[in-house]
This record gives sequence, structure tokens and C-alpha cells, in this order.
Amino acid sequence: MTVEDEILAITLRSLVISGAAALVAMAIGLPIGVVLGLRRFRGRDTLTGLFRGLMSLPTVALGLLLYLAFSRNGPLGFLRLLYTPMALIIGQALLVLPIMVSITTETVENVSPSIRDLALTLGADEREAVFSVMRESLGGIVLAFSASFSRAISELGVALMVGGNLQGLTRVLTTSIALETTRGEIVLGLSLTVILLTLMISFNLILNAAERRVRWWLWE
Amino acid sequence: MIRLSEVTVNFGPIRAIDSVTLDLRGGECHALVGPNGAGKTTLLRVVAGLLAPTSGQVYLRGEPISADDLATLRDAVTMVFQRPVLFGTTVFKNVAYGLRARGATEEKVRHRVREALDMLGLAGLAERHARSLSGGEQRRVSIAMALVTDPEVLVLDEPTAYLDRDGVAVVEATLHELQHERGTTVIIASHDILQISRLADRVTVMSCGRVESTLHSRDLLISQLEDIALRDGVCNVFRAVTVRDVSGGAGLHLTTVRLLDNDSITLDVATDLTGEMTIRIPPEDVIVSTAPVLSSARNCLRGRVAAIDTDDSVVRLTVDVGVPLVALITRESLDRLQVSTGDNVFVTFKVSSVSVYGGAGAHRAEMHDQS
Repeated sequence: MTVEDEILAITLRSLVISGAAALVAMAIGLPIGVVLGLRRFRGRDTLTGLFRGLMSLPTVALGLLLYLAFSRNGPLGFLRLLYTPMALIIGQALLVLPIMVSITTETVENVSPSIRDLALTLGADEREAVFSVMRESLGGIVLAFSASFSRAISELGVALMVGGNLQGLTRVLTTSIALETTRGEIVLGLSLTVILLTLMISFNLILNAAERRVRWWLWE
Repeated sequence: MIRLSEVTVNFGPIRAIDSVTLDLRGGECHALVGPNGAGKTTLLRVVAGLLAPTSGQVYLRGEPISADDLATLRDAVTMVFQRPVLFGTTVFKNVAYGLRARGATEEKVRHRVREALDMLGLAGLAERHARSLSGGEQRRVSIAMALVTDPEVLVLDEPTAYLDRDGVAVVEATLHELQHERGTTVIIASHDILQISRLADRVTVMSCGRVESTLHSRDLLISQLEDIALRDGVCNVFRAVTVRDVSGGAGLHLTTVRLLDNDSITLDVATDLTGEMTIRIPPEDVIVSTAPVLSSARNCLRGRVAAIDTDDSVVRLTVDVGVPLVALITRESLDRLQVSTGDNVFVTFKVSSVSVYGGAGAHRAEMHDQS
């Protein structure tokens, strides 16, 4: 395998793992964020505060906890996930879940109750009113997904601790950059860095364009 | 139509509405007035089915509405909020929202939306992004969104906030048309006593979450104008009575009125009202001269300067024309006129400058009956 092939494989692996992690975080975090944004219940403020606090969770700390959980003698050792792409996806999803929840909560909270009341008074039922709130929150939800993906693809701690940087299996862009730098391959490390930054910027530009299309489609 | 019985609303430890009983009659325009924090908006939200009372009962056409059945109330009532709330899409889609939510056909949606936009002077803005409009235009869009659903009861919280003079006229004409031609019950919260006198049949005065009184809008206007005149120095407000209709025909008439404070003074005003009314002549619209002015203005009175109060560059000139009439002029104008207290002067103002309020509740009712 040439260096170019290896870089392409690492890049694609990073995209798939971090994309999957962001999607898993959205699948779990979006409903939680919507409920926290719409409803008032006992313990809500504590929960939103907890998620906000976890936004700045050190990746290496989460990586260590997951390493202990997934290791052979850990509580989840029987799943045999340590040093697999699945462990990376789970780790990154947990890392970015608080970002997804917190930004969604804040957005929905700002949009509702005015939009919800507007929809209800114009004849919508509760389900349609919630849909209207989510449609108006689209910008914030897209931002949450974008921030989640960017955080996932750019983190190093979880990828190293539960991925192990295994060539051809769990080696991603950030672990490759770290490895090549320690080996003195500064040029290769810089090239990988440029690829990582290009990926993140391109992804967000595409997401912005997609948001406009989705917004138009939602009103059709 | 809607009756509130002993309705109380608490927000945590705060009592926003305190045991309010109110009867809102079908087809009337009912206004809520009161200072900020009086509970007007909360009461409107209860009426609109957006807020369940903590205690008490809401009745729609005599049927009690439970907290789980607020949707029934919302089917009959549509609310326009104090701050315009719009969806992030075009004006057309905003106005169409209510019709589409109620399952109207696209043909009906197109027809009704165009009709509502025309009514509120928004026809050219249908494809504009609603949130890119000015505050006044957004306010009119939010009213169009509500009235397009043809509600039995239209609830408006400060309906002309953010609007310029023309916008206010459009909205007031729309509300008048809704009430008198479609029979819509209109409930408004407003601080504008003069607007209430133009629109409302009855007024409920609220304070600290309680209903102080419910009375005819004309009665409120008279007492409020007297209070305001005493408190804030509002001037040139007079009670007057129709003497004759000069122009006749439909719409606003050129009408001669006589002041009740001095029946030797007659003025021409533009109004469709008859009988007793309240008129106000804005001091800034009064022209002062030392000789009669040859102009298109129809009202010219002779008087004597009673007082000259100077405040920076503005001069408040009080002229006794049989009643005290105040004119606001610049200091330069005073220097040019070279008048002092006791001098004879002429005051001139246009028919269109004179605002006419209330005074013809019976006359409005007759018009409604005839229609």
C-alpha cells in the first residue's frame, strides 16, 4: 500500500467513524434536547447544567474511563470492543452528546414558546406545533450537528485510548498526526493536518448549503 | 360568547390574574386597558386557549372548557401577540400556515391569503422573507395570519404597536371591517385610550390582575382625557356637538361642530360621527398670525394672547379665542410675530388636523344594525 493509499484510507476511516459518532449523538441528543427545551419539570435545570458541564469533558479522561470499561476485566469487557472502530464510534458519540444536547436545548428554548403558541393559535395541534418549533430550530440543530462532528473528528484522547491507533483498523487522522510528529515526519504530519482542516471546513460549508435546501423542503 | 368566571392564574408565587369574572359578548369589540403588569396579556392568553387558569372556569357559548380541552377554545379564538412572531419563511407561507393547518385546499389558501394581504396593504410583499420586513410590516403580517383563518373571536395584544400612522389606520379599518361586516368578536389590549374610543364598544379596566370596572368606551375616554389633561398638560381637547353636515355623502363628512365650553365657537371637522364628540387640535398644527391668513385652512379664529411660555427653542402660546387654545411655535416665529400678552392674533388650522373621538356610540350601533 502506497503512502497516498494509506492517507486516503485514514481519511475515509476518520470520516466514517466521526460521521457515525455524530449521527449516533444526534439520534440520542436531539430528542433529549427538544424535551429539555420544551418542557419544564423537576430536575430539568440540573440536567441542562450537567450536559453543559460535560461539553468541556477532557477527551483523555473520557478515553481512560472507556478504556477501563471496555478492557477485558472491565464491566463491558465481554463486548470485546476495545481497539475496534465501534469503540471509537461509541467514545466519540459520548464525547459529543453533551454538545448536541446543549445547543439543541438552547435553540429550542429560544424558539419556543412563541412559535409553539403561534402554531397552536393558528390551528395546529400539539404534534404540529412541536414540528413547527423544530423547523424553526433547524439552524441551531444543524449547528449542533456541525459542532459535534468537528469535535469528534478533531479529538485525540478517545481515539488513542480506546482505538489504540492500529494500522488499517483504528488509525484516524488525529492519531496519525500524533504518530508522524513523534516519528519526526513533520511534513507528513502537516499534510495530514491540512487534510483534517480541509475536511472540517468543507463539511461545514456543505452542511450550510444543505440547511437551506432542507429549510426550503420543510416549507413545501 | 366567552365568559370567564372567577378566573385566577398563578405563575409560581406570583398571582397574574386574580379572580376575574368577565363576559365577552359575541360581535362586540372589547378592550382591556391598564398599566404594564395589570394582567392584560395573561387574560388574553386564557381567552385564546393558550393558558389554562389555575382556578376558575372559562365558558365558550355557555359550555365549560376544561384544561384538557383548550383546543376547542383555540378553534374559535385566534390571537395576535404583542411582539410579532413569524415563521422563517415567506410572507405568503406565513399567512397560509393557519389555513393549511386546518386542511384548506390549495386553491382556497391562495385566494384567502391574497385577500388578507390586500386587506392589510401587503399585496406586493407576498414572496418577501417575513423576517426581513420592517416592524410595522411584520405586525400587519401577523394580523393577516390571524384573520385569514376567519376566527369567531380575534384577540389582539397591542395591535398597533410598532406601526406608523398609515399602518394604524389600515389595521383599525381592518378591525372595524371584521367586526361590522363579518361579525367577528374582537378583543384588544391597548394603552391607547383614543384608539380604544375609535374601536371598542366596551372597555375593561384592569389593575394588578383584577378587573377594576367594565364600561362603555366613550365614558372611559371622557374620564381618561380629563385625567390626562390634568396630569400631563395635554391641551386643546374639547367636547363638541354637531351643528350641521356640510358635505354629506358616504365616508368622512365635512361637519360643523359647536364647542360645549363656548357655544359661540364653531369649527369644521372631518368625521362620520354625529352628536356629541371629543375633538383635539394638535398645538403643533395651529398657525398664529397677526392678520387673517388667506389659505385653504377652513378654521380661523380671532383671539387674544393669554400666555407665552418659552422652553428652549419652542414657545407655547396660549390664545384665548373664547376657550384657551395652545399653539406651539418656534422662538424665531415669536420674534417675527412680535406679539406679547394681551395682543390680538388669529389662529388657523386645517380640518384634517382636528382629531375626532368617540361621542357616537349610538350612531355606530345604528350603522351596524342597518348593515
